[in-house]
Amino acid sequence: MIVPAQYLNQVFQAIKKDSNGSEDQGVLCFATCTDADSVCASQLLLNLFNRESLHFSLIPVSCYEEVREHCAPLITAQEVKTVLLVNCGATEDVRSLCNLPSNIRIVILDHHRPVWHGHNNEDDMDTLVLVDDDDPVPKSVVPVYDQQLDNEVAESDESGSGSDSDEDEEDEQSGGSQEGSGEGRGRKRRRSVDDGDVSPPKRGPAARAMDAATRRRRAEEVDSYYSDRNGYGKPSSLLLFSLCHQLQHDDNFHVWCAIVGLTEQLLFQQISKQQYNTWRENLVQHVAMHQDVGQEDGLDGSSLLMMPRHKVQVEACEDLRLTLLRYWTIEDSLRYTGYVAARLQTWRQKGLDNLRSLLTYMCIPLKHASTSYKGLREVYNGQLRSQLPRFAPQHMLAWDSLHFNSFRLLYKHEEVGASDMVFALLGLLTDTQAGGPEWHRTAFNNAQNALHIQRNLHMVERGIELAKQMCQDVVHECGLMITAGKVKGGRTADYRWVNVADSNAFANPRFRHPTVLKYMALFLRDATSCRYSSSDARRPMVVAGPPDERGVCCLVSVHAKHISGNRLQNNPFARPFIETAGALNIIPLKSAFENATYHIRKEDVTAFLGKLQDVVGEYRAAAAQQAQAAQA
Amino acid sequence: MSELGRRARDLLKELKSYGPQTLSPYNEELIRLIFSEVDEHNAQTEAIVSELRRRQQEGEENQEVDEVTATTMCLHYECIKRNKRLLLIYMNERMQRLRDMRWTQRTLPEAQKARCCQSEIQFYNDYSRVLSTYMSRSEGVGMDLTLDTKPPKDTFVNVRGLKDAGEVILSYGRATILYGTTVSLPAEEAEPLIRDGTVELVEWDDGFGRNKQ
Repeated sequence: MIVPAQYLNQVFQAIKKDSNGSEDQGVLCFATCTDADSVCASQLLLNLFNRESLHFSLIPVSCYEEVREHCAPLITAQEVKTVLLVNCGATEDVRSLCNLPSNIRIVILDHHRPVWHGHNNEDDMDTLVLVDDDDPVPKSVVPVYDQQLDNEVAESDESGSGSDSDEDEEDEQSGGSQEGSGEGRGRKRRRSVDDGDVSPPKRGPAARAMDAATRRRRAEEVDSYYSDRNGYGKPSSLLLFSLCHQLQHDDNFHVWCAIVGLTEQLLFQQISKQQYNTWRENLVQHVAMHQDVGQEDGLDGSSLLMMPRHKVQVEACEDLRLTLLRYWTIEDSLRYTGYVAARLQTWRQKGLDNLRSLLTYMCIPLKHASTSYKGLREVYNGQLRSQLPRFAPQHMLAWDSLHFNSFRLLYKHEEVGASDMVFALLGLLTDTQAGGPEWHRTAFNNAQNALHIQRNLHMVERGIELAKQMCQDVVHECGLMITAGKVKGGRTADYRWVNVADSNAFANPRFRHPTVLKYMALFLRDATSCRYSSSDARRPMVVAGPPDERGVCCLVSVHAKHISGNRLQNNPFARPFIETAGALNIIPLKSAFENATYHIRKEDVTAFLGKLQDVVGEYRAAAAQQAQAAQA
Repeated sequence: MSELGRRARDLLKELKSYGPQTLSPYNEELIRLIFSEVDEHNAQTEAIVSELRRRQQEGEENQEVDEVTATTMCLHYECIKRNKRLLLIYMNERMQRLRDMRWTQRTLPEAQKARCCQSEIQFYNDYSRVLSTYMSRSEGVGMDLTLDTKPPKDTFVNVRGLKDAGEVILSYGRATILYGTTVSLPAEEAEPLIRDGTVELVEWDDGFGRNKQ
């Protein structure tokens, strides 16, 4: 059942009651280890469990196969138990994937969309998905699960040749070829095993026609739901923060976790700026509530002797959108910020000169621009903020994209901005050298520790160093790829793509992580958009990563246009990926938690990319046809 | 140069090679040799001092102590001090280990006992008696303090798996301990696992306001 988030408290109380009454009292939690939001959300959750004296086990996972593996001991369990999934599980039928019996309750807090419509079943009290009402894909949009109707639709499509909508055909064939296997990606319509038993009773021709019409409508409804709603919803850390607030357990720490989760979504362009601002307003109020009023006595900006703060303080501020500015030099930060690097093409010498001229216009001496920001005097901070809006447009940068309203955390002598924290967590999460074959768990645990900033400031700094490395690598390698012409997709292409394995960057272990690849894809998308003319629109981007030790490559894709307002940032590649995989009979080796990321064998990559072009071409043709038909 | 104090260094190295919770055999022989070395240094110093005194008494002309003699005296003195320091470190370390053994294991294992000298065994017994008195109900706090490695802050602790230990049956149910998973356990049950090395304690703050160090 999809539960509106205002009932989260009741869900929580139910979990508590269940676990106290059961013989097996622990709550099993799974958290994905690919994004910072799940780190924050799991920290909030565990903190809550600790305060409410609930036992738990947290296992960081990177794919659904791992979830299945760890749920294996529960298949034969007799006791009532709760399994909680953070940032995974909404898009799939987890219960049948893991073969869990109905005495195990599954609670899902996932920001991936679309939610599998099979969850929208009011009678099912055992699988709960929490979706808030101001989510870009709220409950009202999800088609209601109607097993009979879905079965009829499935049957009619399979048996009928001249079937209703042409898009369904390909879907059914691809769904059919992968049915039955647990790893199958037949997500569109989950085939229940007892398919064949249901046969509609014999009815007259008029009724049959009406049935057919209902089926067609249903098929279209489900279809459009799945093709248009691929993206991200409200961050799980915001949901959990509201729960903490309801239970009156909230604290600066919880607000900060929520802030970091939200900022990550903005930085990866998973939500629109308006949506971010709406949710941010809410957080500003909470920040104000927790602010320590008596802290600021005698501290003004010009005093030389700054007393270290012993209590952590979080406050709202307006921040520059320059990556890790506080921990870098002004020049480096400008050079490696994704937006600036893409517009000015700073991997080239010409771009760098442009950048330096911008600095000169802003009256910042180049010598000072290349010394560490922390060592600079306060005056440069002010100058940067006042001069950048004046001179940025001359250098093809929009001031709008260079600043945003954000938060910062002050502790002792350190000042950590929200985006700095996001990058620090990402640096720690994508650290493939963390150790051992289970490096993603170590990386996740390191990131969790880093949130406890009072003890682990050094972890944050380490994360920032790693993040700096990542930004530098991305700008340099992608720049090389662009100048070497490895980015395919010309002037009229529907989308652009690149295979990292073809270029020099394939040896860099950092580029095997899907999050780094996504960051790279966003950067490449922006950098190649001004290639042919200054009015060339941004195209969607597909990036195929280099193979890792087991020969598995990761493919990610990002959308092109930024959709404003409260709507979902739809990723158009979800269905094409499935179709291409189906047509070539490629089964992903490892399932990622979102629709637009695939892990396939390195030998299949070129074939996949080739076929993807054809598939997307067909889609475009079909869409053009439909548009013509609609006009006529 | 390396001859001076070498024996004492060897003594400490021997102790170090035995890890914590164990003792090296009490090396009487080496200690006796070190004592004799100290005596020798002392004798040399005495000789020089008596020589100077004699000269002073007889009122000879050059009463200034030349540099060579002064350095020699200093060197002997420093050697004596170093040997003394190293011997004291040896003693102290052994005492410390005995104390830790009392805290972590209740009784002294036979193997370790065989390696102690008489006075160390005496020390252990006395310490054990003092500790038991302190923990006893009649004269002390009435709790067995040796149960926990660290004073517990909470009834629950969060631990992280260091090895794949599989399913563990606990008082509240089953839990699977794998590398990198975080589990919350009651403090008493976490103790043996922490001591084993199966899990490690996870130190998390409870929010930013509390538990700050």
